[in-house]
Amino acid sequence: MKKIILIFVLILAAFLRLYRLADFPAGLNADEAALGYNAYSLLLTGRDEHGHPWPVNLESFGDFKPAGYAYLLMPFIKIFGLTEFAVRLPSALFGILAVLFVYLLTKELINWQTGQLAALLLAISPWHLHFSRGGWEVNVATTLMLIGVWLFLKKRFELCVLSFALSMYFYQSARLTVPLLGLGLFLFYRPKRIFTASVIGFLLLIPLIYNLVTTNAASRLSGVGLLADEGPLNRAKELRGQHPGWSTPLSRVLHNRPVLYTIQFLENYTDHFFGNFLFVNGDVIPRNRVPETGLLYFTDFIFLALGAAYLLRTKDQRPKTKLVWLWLLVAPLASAITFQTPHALRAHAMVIPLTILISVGVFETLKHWKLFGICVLGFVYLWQVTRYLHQYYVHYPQTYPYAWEYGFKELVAYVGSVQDRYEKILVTDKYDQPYILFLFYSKYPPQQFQGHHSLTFRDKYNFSTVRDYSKFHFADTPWSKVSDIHSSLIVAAPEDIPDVGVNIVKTINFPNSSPAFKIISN
Amino acid sequence: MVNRPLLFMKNRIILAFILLLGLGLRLFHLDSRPLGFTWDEAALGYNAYSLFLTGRDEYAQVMPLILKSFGDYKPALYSYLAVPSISVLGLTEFATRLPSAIFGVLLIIVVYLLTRNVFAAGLLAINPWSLYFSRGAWEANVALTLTTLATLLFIRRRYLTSALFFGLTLLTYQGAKMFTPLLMLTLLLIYRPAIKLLVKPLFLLLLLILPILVGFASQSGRLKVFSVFSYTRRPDTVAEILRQDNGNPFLFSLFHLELIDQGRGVLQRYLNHLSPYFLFFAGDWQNLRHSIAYYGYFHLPEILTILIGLVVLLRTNNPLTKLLIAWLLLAPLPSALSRDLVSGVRSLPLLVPLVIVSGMGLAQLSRRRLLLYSYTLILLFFLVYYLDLFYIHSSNFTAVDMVYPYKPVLAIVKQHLDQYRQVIFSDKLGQPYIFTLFYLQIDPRDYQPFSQLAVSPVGDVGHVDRFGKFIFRPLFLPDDRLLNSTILIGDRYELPESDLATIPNLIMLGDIKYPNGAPGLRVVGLP
Repeated sequence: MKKIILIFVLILAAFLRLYRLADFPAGLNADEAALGYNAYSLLLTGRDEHGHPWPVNLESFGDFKPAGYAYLLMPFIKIFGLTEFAVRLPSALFGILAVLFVYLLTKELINWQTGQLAALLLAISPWHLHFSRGGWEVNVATTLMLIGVWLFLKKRFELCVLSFALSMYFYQSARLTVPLLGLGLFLFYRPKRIFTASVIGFLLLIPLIYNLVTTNAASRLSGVGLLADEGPLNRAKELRGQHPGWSTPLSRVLHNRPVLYTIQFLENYTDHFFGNFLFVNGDVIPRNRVPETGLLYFTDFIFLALGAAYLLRTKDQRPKTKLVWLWLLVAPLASAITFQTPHALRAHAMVIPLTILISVGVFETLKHWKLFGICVLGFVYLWQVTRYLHQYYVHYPQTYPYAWEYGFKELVAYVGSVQDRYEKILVTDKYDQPYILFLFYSKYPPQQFQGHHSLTFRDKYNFSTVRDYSKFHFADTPWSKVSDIHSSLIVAAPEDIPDVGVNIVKTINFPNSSPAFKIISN
Repeated sequence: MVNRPLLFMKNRIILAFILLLGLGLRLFHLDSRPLGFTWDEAALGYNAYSLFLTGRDEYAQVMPLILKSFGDYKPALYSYLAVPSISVLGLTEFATRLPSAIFGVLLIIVVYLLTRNVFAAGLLAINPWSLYFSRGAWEANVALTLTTLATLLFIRRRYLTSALFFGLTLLTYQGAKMFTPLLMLTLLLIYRPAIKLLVKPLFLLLLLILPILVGFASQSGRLKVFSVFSYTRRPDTVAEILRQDNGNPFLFSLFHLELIDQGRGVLQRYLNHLSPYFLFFAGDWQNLRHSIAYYGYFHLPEILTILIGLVVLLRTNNPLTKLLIAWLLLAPLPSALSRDLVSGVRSLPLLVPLVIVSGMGLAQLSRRRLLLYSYTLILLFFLVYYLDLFYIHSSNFTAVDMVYPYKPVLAIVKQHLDQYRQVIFSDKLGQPYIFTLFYLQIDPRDYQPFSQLAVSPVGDVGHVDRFGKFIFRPLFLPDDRLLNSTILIGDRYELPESDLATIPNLIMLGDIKYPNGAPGLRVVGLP
């Protein structure tokens, strides 16, 4: 019985993560395309798109993505080719794996029934589903973290360290949270015989440390980091200006950068425990949110509160479940030192401890309930799951069609069919990093790309892009500029192009049938 | 061995010090911080003045329990409480705000008696939420002290007096009509007193709330304005959802009903009040009348003590902890069911359980001397930070919402009133009539016979068009410039400098600016 339920849950998890994976989310975003194309490039040439041999971080758009996911992709691309499905499959598989391991971990911490509930709740969790569907490196990192924690409890320290170290090659946040989590585990449990494990850990991290020291990979933080947020600085200036003297001792002690950035950090950190973010509206970034849904279900907040209260009240549960609290408190730290908080992606690791707490709450409630109550609760959750799936499959692609850069597949196929007729092709840069989507969908030979292009200077968020390769040029397409260009194919943002008096050869539409691109030939 | 009497003495001295501190923080510059005076404060003050002089409210109702005021039907108790201070100190901002400040200090005593926790009392004395609402004529603040006092009396089995104070909360503040019954029900469920002890108290309570029950029908319009369920999605939002579903009515009724959307709204509002952002960083982020800029309702380090306190609370098991947990969970409800995304005044009851929890956390911390001292030091820094924001900075952000210009404008009008036949006063800032009554100290006997409120068609607050020499309406300069012997009061759009320059023999009587330099109201005379 135990096994049957678990297998059923795993099948459910697999179904929800694999069903029409290539089509939903509708489109392919620039980061997925970059991971896919870099894996393709590594597979064929042993170098990334910019020609760096076997990198630890991918320079990509100047954001230095950890390269783990690209390496993981190589066999998948070898088998399935350079397709959306191949790029998304590893994340989906690690999502399914997480459902299994959350069962194992919760069983270890509490009991097997709660473990099965945790697996079920993670299988249907909107937060976990969202980041299992898409080439999200974070999902792999979180699963590796989860596996590592379980291995730690099983006293398999060597494997635990391996898993932890690997996760740091997959996602930026993990590079801060995993060491802290590891340190916390060490302090809580004081394990013996960990010498080999520490040596292995150190050896595994050498490439990463070497890379961080020798390249400017750490620059990502200066683009999105807390200190790049000018809000607190401006606030300090504003408040100082309101004192009678600009630099009286009082105003200098109260309104200065350390004080205001500390407050900002705490605000960013605690933002991740905002109920509206967790249960009602989710992240504000369209790529990270499904319209009108939270990261967890509405009723989860009741069970989260009950589960938390139960674990804090019950004496014999405390020593083991300390680790759930540790994880929950550590998980948003990396996100809190960036701006744009709360952030569902950067704080993704929170989903595991939260799901465990919710499952404790559900289990402790169900224990006292009769069959009728259980049926009602099941019905309520069934409705919420259906509602989420409805929002995901029907409303998401139509409400935020641009979030996943829908339309490039059709665009690249069309441009490919006519490109021989034109000397130059100008493509709008309205959507994020169009060059990489052209490389991806046209399977442009990486040998020809490496060394034949250049990255632009960084913008204020420290991002770069490629403006030219082969006959393609990527730039803005205002009508005043493109109306005079001849013997070129112009792929323009729809709002740039007037409706009449233009030779529009093709229009590509979003799923909600508003135009994504207008292609003109003068 | 701990010397009990000595400890008791020591506690008393500490408590006296805490009360003194609480009183000082609530009275210091009470008249001018927050800078400005809301129309509700002016209304409560003027009605108290009217009651004091004539025994009637502004509409000549004899000893009313509910004030019609702007058509919002305020419970009248606050005005009665303000009668003594106004009779002694005159009709001033200080006298109007004083009852709330005193009830704020009383709350410290009540909370101490409820918990015997000096840390909770100390944290309450310096609590930003309590300080803010003690420093204004906020009925909610008085109601909170009455509610807590009634709870204390209930726990001590003084059911009759408890019922009296619970009843009084309903005569003090609208929001209590939902919270008080919920709290009473909780108390009954937790403490389960014998039914026969409750007969007399219940009778007393019914007697007290009878006038409210009678008046309920006439006020339902106001309730409708504030209920979250009175607001629906825009038609184009609904149309877009339907279009995305290919017009499928089954899917619409399963997932997109108005009620589902409103349910999400209620949940969002409920959780907003329990969010760290609301409690520790921003306060009521929607309404600058309810908090100061850049600071929350608790001091930032209290995140720590509240968390520790919650753990302690969950690990102890007695009726009081049950009550605190229930109170904590029920307090945001009235606010969650109302229109605004967040409200610092409607959720004010949340203050009591949280400050007690924070006190419990601090008590836990204080077992280690070093922790206590370092925590106190950090807390002290934030207290200074808060006081600096409140006394030096907040006027720059909140004076617009606190309709600051009325007072200086009416001081100017007072000087020149004799020389003019009429005053046309723009109502753009809201309810100018009540400020005119308040600041010119118009004798209620002169005003009552002419009081006339124009009712709002949507059930919201109404307005007064004219009395005596005063006419309250938007200015229209092209016509109004032809008047004579008239004072015009309007903002910079109604009385633009460029146009004023073209009017011959116009006298600029005053140009009031906000503390941050933004233009407020202009007063000009047409002789």
